[in-house]
Amino acid sequence: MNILLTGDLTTCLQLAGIWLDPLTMDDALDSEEQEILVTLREHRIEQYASYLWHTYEGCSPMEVNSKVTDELNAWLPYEGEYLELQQVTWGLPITFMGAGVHDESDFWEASWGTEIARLFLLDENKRDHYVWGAHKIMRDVKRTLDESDDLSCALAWLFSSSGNTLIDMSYEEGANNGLGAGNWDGLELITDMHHEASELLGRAVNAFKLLDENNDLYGQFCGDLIRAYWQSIEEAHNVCDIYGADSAPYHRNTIGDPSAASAADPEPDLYAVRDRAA
Amino acid sequence: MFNGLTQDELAAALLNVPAVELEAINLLREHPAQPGNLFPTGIAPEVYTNATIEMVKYSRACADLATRMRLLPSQALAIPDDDLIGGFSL
Repeated sequence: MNILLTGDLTTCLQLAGIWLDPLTMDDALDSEEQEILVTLREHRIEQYASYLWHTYEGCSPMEVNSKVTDELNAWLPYEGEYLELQQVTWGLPITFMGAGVHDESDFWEASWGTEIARLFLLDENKRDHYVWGAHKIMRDVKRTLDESDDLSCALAWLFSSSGNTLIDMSYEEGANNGLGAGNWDGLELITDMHHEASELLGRAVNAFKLLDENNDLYGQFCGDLIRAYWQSIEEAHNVCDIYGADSAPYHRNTIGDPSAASAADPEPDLYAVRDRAA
Repeated sequence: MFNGLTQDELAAALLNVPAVELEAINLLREHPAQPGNLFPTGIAPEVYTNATIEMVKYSRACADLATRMRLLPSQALAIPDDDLIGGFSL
């Protein structure tokens, strides 16, 4: 047997292929293991070798999974984590940071979260918030803020307007848009995006802490929001005038959303907010 | 200037190609198979990794070459009439 393996070059070459590159023998692997190996072979060949080495050294499949997963996590240059090796076939572990107003998250537990949400008439008990109208108001408020102000980052995070996909999307939104399954162009791009998103989120959290601690700033901030809100009402009425008197009665269910004719008018609620901000 | 290649010359050229030196083959020869253990064990991870990377590159190169050869355009052969069955020619 040994003479055959070491003396016959062709046999030796075939054996080397089966040993170190078993994907040449597709039928020898079940589909899930093959999928993982194909991904590792294409993208992380060191972990491909490690997977095979641990296997031949007698590790159990669970041990191999754990060891290679740890190696992949150590290699990631940003905050991300493969929880199990199977995830490697889904692409890079992306951390979405979108504001949790759409989710059951810490958003409502933070005092600033409920206060800001109340300014925009978001209801804690109603999870399907529709906030694009508030987005315009946020944009108007941002104009009054210093571009470098952390409050700009806070608003950008709350209303998905930073331009950074990781900041603007929650896990659910990312999944619905197919962004969790390896649709990124490259590691370099996602690394830059992640660094930028981390910075924006850090500044947003600083802003909310500042609002909590500084009543004057909070009042000014709320005042800007209210002014932007009334401005949006005037603009919306102007739009109604343009389209004529036959237009549908003006109602809104969120700030700045004049199209929802069936919704209750929330403006009386805003009076209380405005008084408090003043 | 290249003036063509006969079948015998092609075969001779291929036979004269030296065998590729692969670390994997050296490892197999240095650690021959034992009963119940077809592949070598106890090799340092970095040695194994380097041999694997080399093997994968070699596999890819072979696959790429096979693909390129399949895509080569066909060439008309100049065969003497006497060699054709029944002297049939186009």
